Amino acid sequence: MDDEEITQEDAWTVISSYFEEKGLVRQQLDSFDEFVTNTMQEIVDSQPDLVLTAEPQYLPGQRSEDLDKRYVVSFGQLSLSKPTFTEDTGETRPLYPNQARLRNLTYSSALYCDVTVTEVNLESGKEETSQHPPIRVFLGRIPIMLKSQFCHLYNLEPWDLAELGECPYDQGGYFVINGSEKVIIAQERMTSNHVFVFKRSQPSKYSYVAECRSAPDSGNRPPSLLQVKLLRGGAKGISGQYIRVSMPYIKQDIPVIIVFRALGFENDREIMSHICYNFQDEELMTFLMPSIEEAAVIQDHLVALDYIGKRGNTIAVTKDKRIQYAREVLQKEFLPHIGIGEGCELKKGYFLGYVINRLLSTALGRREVDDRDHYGNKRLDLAGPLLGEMFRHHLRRVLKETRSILQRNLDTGKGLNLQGAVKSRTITNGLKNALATGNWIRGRTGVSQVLNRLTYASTLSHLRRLNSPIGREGKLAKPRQLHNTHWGMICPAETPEGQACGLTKNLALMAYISVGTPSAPVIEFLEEWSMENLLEISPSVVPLATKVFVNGAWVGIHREPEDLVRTLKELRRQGTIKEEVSIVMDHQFKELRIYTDPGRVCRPLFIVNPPPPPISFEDANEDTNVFGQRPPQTLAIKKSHIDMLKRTDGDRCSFSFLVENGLIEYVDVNEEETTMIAMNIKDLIETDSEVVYTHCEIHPSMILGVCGSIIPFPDHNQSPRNTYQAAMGKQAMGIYATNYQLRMDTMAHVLYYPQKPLVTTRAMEHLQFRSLPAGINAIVAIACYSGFNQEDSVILSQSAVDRGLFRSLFFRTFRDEERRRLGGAQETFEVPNPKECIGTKRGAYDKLEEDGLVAEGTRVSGDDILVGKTCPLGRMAANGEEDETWKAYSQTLGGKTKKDASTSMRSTETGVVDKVMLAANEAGARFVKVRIRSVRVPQVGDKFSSRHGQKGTVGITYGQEDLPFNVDGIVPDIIINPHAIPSRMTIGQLIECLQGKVSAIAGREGDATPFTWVTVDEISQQLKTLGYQSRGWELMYNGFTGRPLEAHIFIGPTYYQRLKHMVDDKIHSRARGPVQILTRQPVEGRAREGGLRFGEMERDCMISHGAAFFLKERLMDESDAYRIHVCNLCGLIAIADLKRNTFECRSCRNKTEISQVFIPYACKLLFQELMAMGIAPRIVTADE
Amino acid sequence: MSSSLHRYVHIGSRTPTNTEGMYASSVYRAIGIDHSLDLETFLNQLQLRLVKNSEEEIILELVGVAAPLINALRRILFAEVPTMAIEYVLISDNTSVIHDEILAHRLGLIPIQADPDGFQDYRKGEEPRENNTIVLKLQVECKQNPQARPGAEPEELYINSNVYSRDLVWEPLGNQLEKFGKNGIRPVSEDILIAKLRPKQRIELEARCIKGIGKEHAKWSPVATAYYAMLPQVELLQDILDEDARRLIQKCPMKVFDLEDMADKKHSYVEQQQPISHVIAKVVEPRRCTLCRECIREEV
Repeated sequence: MDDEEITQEDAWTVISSYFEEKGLVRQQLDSFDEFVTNTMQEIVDSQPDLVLTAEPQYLPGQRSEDLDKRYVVSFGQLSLSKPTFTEDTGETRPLYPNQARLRNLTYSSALYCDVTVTEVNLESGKEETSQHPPIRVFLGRIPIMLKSQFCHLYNLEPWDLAELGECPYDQGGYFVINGSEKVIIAQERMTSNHVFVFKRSQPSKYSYVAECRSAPDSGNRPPSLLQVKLLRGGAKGISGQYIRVSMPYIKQDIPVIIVFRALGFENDREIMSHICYNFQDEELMTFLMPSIEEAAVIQDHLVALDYIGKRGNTIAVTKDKRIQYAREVLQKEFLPHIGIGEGCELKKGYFLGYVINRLLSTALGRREVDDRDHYGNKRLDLAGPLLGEMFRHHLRRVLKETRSILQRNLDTGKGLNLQGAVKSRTITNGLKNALATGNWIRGRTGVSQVLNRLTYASTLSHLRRLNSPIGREGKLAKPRQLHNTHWGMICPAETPEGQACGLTKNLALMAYISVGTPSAPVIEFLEEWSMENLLEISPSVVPLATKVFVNGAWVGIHREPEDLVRTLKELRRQGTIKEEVSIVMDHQFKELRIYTDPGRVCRPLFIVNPPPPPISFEDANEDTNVFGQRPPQTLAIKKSHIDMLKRTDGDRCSFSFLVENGLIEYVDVNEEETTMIAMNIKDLIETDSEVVYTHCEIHPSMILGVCGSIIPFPDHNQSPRNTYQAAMGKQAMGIYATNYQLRMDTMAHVLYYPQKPLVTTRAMEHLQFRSLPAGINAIVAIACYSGFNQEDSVILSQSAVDRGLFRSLFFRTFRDEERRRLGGAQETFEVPNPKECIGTKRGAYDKLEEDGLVAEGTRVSGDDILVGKTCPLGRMAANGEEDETWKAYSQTLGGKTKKDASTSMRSTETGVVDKVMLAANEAGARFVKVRIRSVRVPQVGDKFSSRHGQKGTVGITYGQEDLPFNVDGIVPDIIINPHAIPSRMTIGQLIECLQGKVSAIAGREGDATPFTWVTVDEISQQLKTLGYQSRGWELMYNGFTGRPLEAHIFIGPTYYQRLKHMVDDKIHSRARGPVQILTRQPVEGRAREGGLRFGEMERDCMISHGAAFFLKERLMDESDAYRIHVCNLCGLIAIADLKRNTFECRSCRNKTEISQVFIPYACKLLFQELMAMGIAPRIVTADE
Repeated sequence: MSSSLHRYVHIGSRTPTNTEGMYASSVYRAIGIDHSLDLETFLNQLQLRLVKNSEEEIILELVGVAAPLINALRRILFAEVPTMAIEYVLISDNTSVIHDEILAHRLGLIPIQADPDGFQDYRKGEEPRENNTIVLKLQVECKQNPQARPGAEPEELYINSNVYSRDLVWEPLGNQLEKFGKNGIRPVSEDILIAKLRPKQRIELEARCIKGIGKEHAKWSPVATAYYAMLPQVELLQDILDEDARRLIQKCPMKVFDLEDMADKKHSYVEQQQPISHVIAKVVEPRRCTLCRECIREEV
């Protein structure tokens, strides 16, 4: 049947088609594509042309003929190449991402711009213009996002990707800068152009403040903030509830009425009408009284402007200048999103009136105070807008520089040399450095980060991360809390613990971020559909109609909003209006808000058809169709559409087909609040209440993010446990990319035998968790057995470990290059000869081959040298000959002419040389990367975790003979302690285990997707039919004694992860070792073989124990004890000659009264520093 | 019940009890039972029946042995019976995607068919000799199959795309060939997958097997698993009839119980004059019982 309704299972087909079409990093790719295709050109177009005239130079005997000419240099069409790289030889070749990664290059494309020079000849008094043909100028290099439209990998088939050394599962969405992968983290901010009214608490002078951060569409500058404040009446020094406006560049707050007067509204009645609209509203009018009275002195337009001008930042002297200044501020800085030219005063007046109306309505309690944390009030800046900001900034610098170079060209009469004047390094390095360091303009840091490559899931999650920059230190809890409006947009589980908790977020799986569409067509359309422009109406009709806002700007009113909204939505579903435009109808306040701006979070929903009419008398029959009853609502999408998605031939449809045909639509947070969403398809049929749905969830489990979707049965866990797992899933080992053997990551872990989980969620399919898993289905018993699994430790089966359970490979890459040092010394790879080298290291040099590099397959350990490198000693004088002082010094070196600059292994690690790569870097210097591989066998102290935030370290390993066994002879791989369960309430783990048991025995995957109708009883029943105890308990025998255990044991397969924290990387002890040069105290850190800190708290313990001598031993004798000699007379440090055994205090002429004392070296240092400051620290030695 | 305390572990509705057994032979002397063990009475009481004895599996039924004793046997099987397994792998060429360490580890786990009695322990650094080492060689290279149909599975497209344990070739040392015969030493299974190759990749190595025990590494364990179960005895303490009986049968996942017609049986609860035939639950297969207690669990 053609119009058969779909089932929940069919919804999964829709979800599959969504991910198949979009992938998981669509927001990144779309945003970057938008930046390159449109934003970049728009930015260039918005820059003013360079107009140049030669300045007369007043040089005797010279006269430039250019003096009568004016040149207009305009930057036009941009063009971008495919990513390339220019070798130091000058050869330019296409660059592929893996090449860039391996050779530490930047994956970027050259950007060219067609520049036109127009010559205007002023000689003959009239203007003659002649245009030169456009010149293609190299602007700079733009880093290219992998898998975007401009990348070599765009739309490549898996085998082609493999050919290029890429992992076919890699999603792209990041950049390669100097060989390291960088992600741009989406930055959260408040919406601009939107009016917010907030309440201020007591100590503040104001009771309510209305705010509007105004930024024009093409956000050239930081948004300018407008605040309208309502003074708290009756407070000290304030006589009434005045309303004041604060705006940029004006130091003082201005009474509102004066602002209106300055905008050209002189008449009080006119002003009132723009605020109240309705003169019957006495309550509101009374509120305005004090303000009107306050401004009674200033009645005139010009006086008002002067009043504002006087309070400006720059003190203009004359009245005319002040007025001009105020005018400009009002035009350019006051509500610039409405307009920045002349003739916007009326519109601005309307808007200001609206802001005041909102403020007063809130003060009167007619409206709620706005919610700062409502996600509809947030926008996300992705790679596109962030790069745009950066590009604009650097383009301006380039143009400025170009201008001054061209001006100099003209002045010196050289003529315009465009190619030489445009410095491409500015943009190239500007973008590169920003991405490499994460430092953005306006002091933002951490915008770009090194892509996490620990596990595939951690990579995906990193590419979908959000950051809100506000108040990391602030103790305010509200912005960190989960908000209702996060539903479906932001993962409720995945956020870090501690400082960034709730500020760093992750996108939900189906969340999509708008890229922005022009608002002009929408406004045009509105006008066609009889919207009345503000310029053509009288304020008195406003309350009768609905206000129409587009991107926060009030554009007009409409009398039949219902019809308008219906048409708008219909047109959007047809595709006439872009699907990402949101239409929000606020019936309560009669406002229609339309958004087209970028950075709104949206998500797709099934469209539900409007309810059919109740069954008429004629259609009624006795059994099913009861007269007057409402037939169930239906989805717009039908079975036939699902079949089209499932087709395998050429007529197969994609997800966008569903959107284009009005079966599914994207709904943003604001619009979501005007909808009625059914949770399940079932709810449409089963509901018998009068609820009318407009949409239906595709599947509620899509509210989770990448890491949340890996958890089985998360809906059965205590919520913080899901958060813990979301954080731990990123530390699990697995296969992070299929091309790991072709990559040279600084550190990488690869699990020997990863398994796909027995118990899966439906979302995992799209996260590729089955193809690139990070864990093993271990047989887990929950038991107290020998006590070696207490306090979150686990018992591991040594036999299973012997057979390969949780073994992993660890790769570490060392890199080195032949650098040219300051002073011209050139380093070389070679085997350092100890006879001619100073500063040789303690490791073994004999593993180096002739070329100075270790061979692949060599076993290396300790401090072994991996790359031998030397640097010639010597300093050249200016004339190119050896410096004289240097020559004298070099005599003391015993004929050694080189310094060792080799790279050695980490002292605590061992391994085998896996790969040695020799290449040339960007500058053409020789450059080497050495990858070391080692096997990590699980051992006592290594960390493991289930997928439910239940982590633990290995407490002991037992052989098969020592482990408990059941009637089938099955022995657990892991035994966890039952005490880990009750307080943590991770019921999901128990259900996973049960489901896993069923799956393992029956030989099929178990479904653990949240918000489905799987029940424990159902699983238990299945287990029972398979011949097991329904709840997973088994009688087990003690492996040591051979007798049955006194309890039935819950045992079954549970998916376990090996986490990256291993004892071998942490184990550390020191008896004696290196000390700091300055203080002679032990150095810090394991890598430097440092000491273990005896800190304040430990010190406090010793003090309270009264163990003074122990304390002295720890703090001085074992640290930095130092012997000095002190004059008994003056107490200052004396001169000691230990060889001749003579001691002297010169100032006291004392050679006999000297004491030897032991003090910490740090103390001696302090004394010397004090002495340098003119303070004499004396040690008084009393002889008793 | 109390009389059987010394012989049974009791699986009640809550938890297994009396699992501890006895720690002295004199515990039950007061009621006339002596548990002191001497070899003669033990051998007299011991009954052994071979239930199954195949190449890969052996099942015994023992009566008259206490659990700890048989457990000792189980533990020895795992940990202390010597076998031969690959310990040293000398790799001369490995261009496959499998790293040397993983390859060596996989080879080590291949069970080797060889009588360990014919070998002595190998001490580290010793010269490999006929009496302490078995040498196996592996030499495979993957090639394109010229006869393959395009687009076929890798197994057909390439020759030697999979390396199996059968590819290991025994190289007899000294008198080993005479001692063990031509086919005397080989991997137990032929089709254990060692590695997968693609054209131009090759593996060439020499693997040396030495004698060892499971305690050191599981690869020397002669058994995959060894286990026992105590003989279950299921007793119905009262007659379970009709509907209850049916429910009981439903409850047992292992089908330990069955229904029996009780036409000729007399029972006090049943009124004889009723013409309907009654059924009673009977324990038919107590050995199937896994002691899961499903039958006595109270329904929630």
